[in-house]
This record gives sequence, C-alpha cells and structure tokens, in this order.
Amino acid sequence: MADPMLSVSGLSKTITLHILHGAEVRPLRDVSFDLDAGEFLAIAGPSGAGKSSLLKCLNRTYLATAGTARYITRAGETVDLFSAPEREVVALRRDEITYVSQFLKAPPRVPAVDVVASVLTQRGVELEVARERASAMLSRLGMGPSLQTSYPALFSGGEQQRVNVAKAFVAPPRLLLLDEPTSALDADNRERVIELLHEAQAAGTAVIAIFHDRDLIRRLADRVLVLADGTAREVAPDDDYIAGDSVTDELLEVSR
Amino acid sequence: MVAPLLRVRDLNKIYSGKGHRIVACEDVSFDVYPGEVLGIVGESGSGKSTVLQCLFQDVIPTSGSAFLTSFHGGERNMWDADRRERRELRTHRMSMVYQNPRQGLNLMVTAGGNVAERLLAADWRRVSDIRAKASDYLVRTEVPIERMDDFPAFFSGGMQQRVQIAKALANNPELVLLDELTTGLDVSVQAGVLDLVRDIQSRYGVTAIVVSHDLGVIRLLADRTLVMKDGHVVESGLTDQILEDPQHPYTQLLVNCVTN
Repeated sequence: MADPMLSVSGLSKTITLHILHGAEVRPLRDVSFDLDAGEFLAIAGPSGAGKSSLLKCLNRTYLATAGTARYITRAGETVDLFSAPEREVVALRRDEITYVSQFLKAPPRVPAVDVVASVLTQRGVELEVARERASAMLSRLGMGPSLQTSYPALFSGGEQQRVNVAKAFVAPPRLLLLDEPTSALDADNRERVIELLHEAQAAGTAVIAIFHDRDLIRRLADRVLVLADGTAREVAPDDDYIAGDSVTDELLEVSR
Repeated sequence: MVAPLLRVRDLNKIYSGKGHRIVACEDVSFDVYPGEVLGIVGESGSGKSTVLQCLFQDVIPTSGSAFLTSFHGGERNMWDADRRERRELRTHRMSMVYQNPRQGLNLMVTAGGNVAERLLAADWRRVSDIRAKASDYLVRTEVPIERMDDFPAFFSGGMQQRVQIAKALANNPELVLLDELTTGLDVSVQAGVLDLVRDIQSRYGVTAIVVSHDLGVIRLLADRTLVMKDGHVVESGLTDQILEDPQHPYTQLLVNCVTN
C-alpha cells in the first residue's frame, strides 16, 4: 500500500496571547488524518471548533505547536509541511498547494482578472495567456468583462468570493485547501463551484474543504472530519450527523 | 535547493562614545534567496535601517560577515572588501533607495543625469546609450519623459522617489535595498510608488530587502519577514504567518496596533 499523499499526525495548536496577559487558546488538539490524491475530505463542526485553524496550519499561515504533516510532493519527496524551510513552503504554495481563505485578501488597485492571472504568472505563464485563462475562469463563474477589470475591493461579498474561487481553479493544484468556498454564493454559482470541484478531483486534486452546508458535504465528500472543541473524529458522508436535519445543533451538542 | 544570494551572519553595529554605548543591531543573521523580497519590520530605533546601511556600506559594521554569491563566489566577507571592491559592490551589485531622496539623488543634477551617473559609475561610456537607457528607466518608473532634463529639487516627493527607483534599477543590480520608501509621502502617492515597486518586482523578479515600519507595505511586498526590536531579530517567518500568527509579544503588539 502506497503512502498517502498527506498524512497529518498529532496536530495541536496553542495560541499564546502575550498582549492578553498570556491567555492561551487551543484551537486544535491531537488531530490526525490521511488524504490520498483525488480524495475529498470535508471538515465540519460548529464555529470556533478549529476548522480554519486546521487549514491555516497546513498552509503554514499558522505555526503548528505539535505534530507533523507528511506531504509527498509531485517530485516524490516527502516534506513535513509544519517544519519545512520557508523557501520550500513558498515553492509549494506556488506550484502544488493552494489555500483559499474565507475572505478574499486581494492586493489593492489590481483588477480582478490580474488577481486571478497572478496565480499563473507566478508559475511562469506569459501574462497575456494568463489573463485569457483567468478571464475564462471568471466568465465561467458568471463574472462579466466590466467586473473583471474592476478592483475586487469594490466588489460585493459574493463577487469577492468568486474571485477567490477562480484563483483556486485557474490552475488546479495537487492539494486544495478551501475555507467555506460557497458561503456567500447564490444557488447557480454554488452549482458552478461544485462542477469545478468535480473536475479538479477527476484531474487528481486532493481537496480539504470546510463546509457548513450538509447537502454539499453529501454531494462532494468522500470522508468527513468532524471537529468539536479542537478534537477530531471521522465520519462517513452519510453519517447521521451529516444526514440529520439539524446538523449544526447536533454538532453543537457534541461540543458541549 | 537554490543557494541564497546573500548570507548575513552575526551582524553587530555598536556606536560607542564617551560613557555611552548604543547597540544599533546585535547578532543579526539572515539569508536572502534569488527573486525573493525579504521584509524587515520594526519601530524606529529597532536597527532595521542600520542593517541596510551596513549592507550598502554607508556604515561600517562593528563585526559580522556578509557573503554575496557573485562576490568572490560567496567566499569573501563583503565587509573585508578594499576600497575598489567596495565601490564595485555599490555600483554594480547592489543599489539603495533611501527614505530621503536627498540621500539617493543629487537634486541639482537633472533627473536623467542622476540615472546617467549610476550608469557612468557602472562603466557605461557612450553618451547616446546612456541617454537612451536613462530615459528607458524613467519611463518604466513613470517619470514624465519631458521632465528628464529638469532638476529633481523641483519635483514632488513621489516623483523624486520614482527617480530614485529608476536610478537604483538602471544597472540591473542583483540586490536592491529599499529603506522606508513610502514614509513621508501622502497615501495616494504611497500607493503609486508601491504599485510601481510591486509591478517591477513581478515583471523582472528583482531580489530586494524592504525595510519599513508599515505592516501594510510589508504585507504587499515581502515573501518573508524579519521583525526587529532593540537591535535584535525577535521573530522571522512567512509574511502571512507573521501577520496572522505572530509568536513574539512585540510582534503581537505590532500586529494589533494596525488600525484596520
């Protein structure tokens, strides 16, 4: 049996707030899971359960306090995402791992199409080609030419989210980390994102995605990691927790 | 793995006089890789500008070593350079954009002449080549070409800064040092200068060290960031990690002082 593409073991995160007299927050405690190429792992759980912290640790936006994340690169090398040299993380973010935050953080005064194209130009694609592909992806997400050449800072929440999602799919990575990618989208756009996710998965992209919408989890996920109070347990997408009518209430119950 | 372009080890700069001893920076070590932008952030007096001044040898460090790959194959400490080598480092290999354009420009030499000075220092000789190259760089940094023969003393602060950037880039330096390049400019002009630097960086892949007290500038330009306080590097990491998960009490304070 081959090693999984990503193997997270014993991930804990403690944040010490020195400016609040050393108060400690522990968003994650001893979280472990594996993920194979092309697999879709959904992360579920109530607000504050540590879901975003988990993705940020994998992206190295947060430093893990304990644990390892053994990732096998495209070149077949094994790196620990939690402790790899910063230079390697920069290269992996450029070439293999894409993290899409819940809210777009676009540089100011850059048109939406260039925000998306930058993902490609960083990988060495010519600017004109990159713009064409970025524009096609934004069009697919229902964004017309006039919006594409405007600054995302002026956009509505749903429009910003589509720019963010376009960044993820304009050059599908090997590992995609998504933080509630459809939270601000209408039904049509949500369906387009699901379509893009199916395509990426078929092309071998492994996905870890936070969703609150249990319908989306059922439709997309191979496996579900339920986080409550920083600890994780794995359930199947058709588990009662996910299939239940009031999943959030039940999850809140678990955390008590 | 790519080798670093610059390695700095145990840089110390101590100013001592009668009865007092001021540590500007102490045991500062870091690497800069080709094509990368390294940010150095900290409050005034933290020693961040001293690091740049030492690298550009405006100031001679008390101790430490710095190795530039292209300088004797990265084997010879830059701070052991003789006069001729030091001049070569400053004219061919590195350039500096100062917070105050008066330091980086001769305000009573024309804008074109300022850029030309740099090219002359780098052994350019033909006047027509120099003029063409100078105008090319002024265009790239969005200095109106009809102002090429005017004196920067009569330019606005933002345009002076753009002439400085043109001058700094003119001889294709391996490493560009940018010291508080937007401080003192009003916000709309700051935005223009930042956009210019970001555009140049993405187009030409310039390797740079950006020193700023402004986390917004660092967020926009730097891949990795060092946080300095009282002459020490208290924390270093990927820029987004420094901003979102700061570890050191001072960095936490700094990040939480940003108003938006």
